[in-house]
Amino acid sequence: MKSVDMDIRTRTEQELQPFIEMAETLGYSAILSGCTTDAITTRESPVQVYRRHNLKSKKLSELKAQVSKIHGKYALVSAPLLEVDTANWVAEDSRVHLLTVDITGKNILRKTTAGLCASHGTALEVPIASLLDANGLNRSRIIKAIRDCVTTATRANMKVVLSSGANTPVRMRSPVALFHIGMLLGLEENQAKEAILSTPSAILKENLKRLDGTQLRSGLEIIRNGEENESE
Amino acid sequence: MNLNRKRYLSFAVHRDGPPVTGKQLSTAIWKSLLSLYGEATVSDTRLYLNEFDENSGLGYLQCNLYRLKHVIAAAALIESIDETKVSFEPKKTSGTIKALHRMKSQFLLLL
Repeated sequence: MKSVDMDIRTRTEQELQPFIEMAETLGYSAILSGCTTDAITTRESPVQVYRRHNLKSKKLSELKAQVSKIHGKYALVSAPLLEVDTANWVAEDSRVHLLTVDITGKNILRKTTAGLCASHGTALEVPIASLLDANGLNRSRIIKAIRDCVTTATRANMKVVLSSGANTPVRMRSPVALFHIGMLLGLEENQAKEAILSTPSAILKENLKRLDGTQLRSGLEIIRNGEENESE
Repeated sequence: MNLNRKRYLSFAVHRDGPPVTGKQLSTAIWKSLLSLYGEATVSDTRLYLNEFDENSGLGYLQCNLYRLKHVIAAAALIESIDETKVSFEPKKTSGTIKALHRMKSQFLLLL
C-alpha cells in the first residue's frame, strides 16, 4: 500500500469522485472519508476508499456511547484532542485509532497522554487544512499549537499521521508536499516520511484485518487451520 | 562549502479556476515564503521561476539548495492565487535543468 490520505471531508458520496481522481494524480493508493456507505468500498480505480468516523462530543460519556454504536462499522475512528480525562480514555481505547490535534491550542497533548497513546498504538493526527485557511499571525498560532503537540508526541514515541483534511479536491496535497509541511511542523526527516508513508498505511492495514475478523488485536491473530501450509 | 549551490525543481500546479500566469505564481511563492519564514530566509532563497506552462500547470523553478525545503513547504501552503484555488505538487528535484528536461521527455513518451 502506498500513501494514504486519512481525512477527506465530503458531504455526500457523490462528491467523492473528483477526490478519487485527484488522489490518483497525486499518487495516493487510498483515501478515507466519512461519506461512504460501507467500511470498505472496492473500486476499479487504483484508489480505494474507506470509511472513517470522527467522534463529535465534548462529554466522555457521549464519546463512549458513540464508540459502542459504531464499533466494527468503520475502517478508522478518530477523536478530537480534548481535556485530560477524555484524551486519556481515547489513548487507552483500542476502538479509537487517532487523536486529532486541537489547532486552537486550548487543549494540549500531555506527556502522560502521549505515553499512553504510544503504548496502545493510538496516533496523533495532524490535518493541514487549517494551515491553508489561515495566514499571518493566525497561522503562526496554529503552527505553534501543532508544533507543541507534535514535539510532545515524538518525544513519547507516539506515532504521528499527516492528513489533508480537504473539503475540495484542490485542497489535497501530494505526499511530497505533506512531507515538507511535516518538517515545518517540527518533524524530523525520517519522522515526516513515516507520518505520510508508513504509519497511515500500517494503521489502515491493521484495522482492515480487525474488520475482517482475522485480527483480534495487535499481535493476536486468528490463523485458520492449514492456511500457512497452503500459502507455502 | 559553496552556499550558493542551486537546485532545480519540477512541479505541477493543479487548479480550480482560471489559469495562473508564471508571474502570479512566482509572486505567490515569494509572499508565502516571506510570511512563513521571514525576510532573512527569503533573501537566501535565490528563487527564480525558469519555466511555467499556464495551461498544463507544469513548470521548473530554481532556488538555493539549502532553502529548497523552505520553498517547497511555502509553495505547498498556497491555497489560492487571486481567484484560482491551487494545489502545488513538487515532482522532481535535480542539480541540473538538463536532467529535469530528460525526465519530462521520458514522462511525455509514456503518455
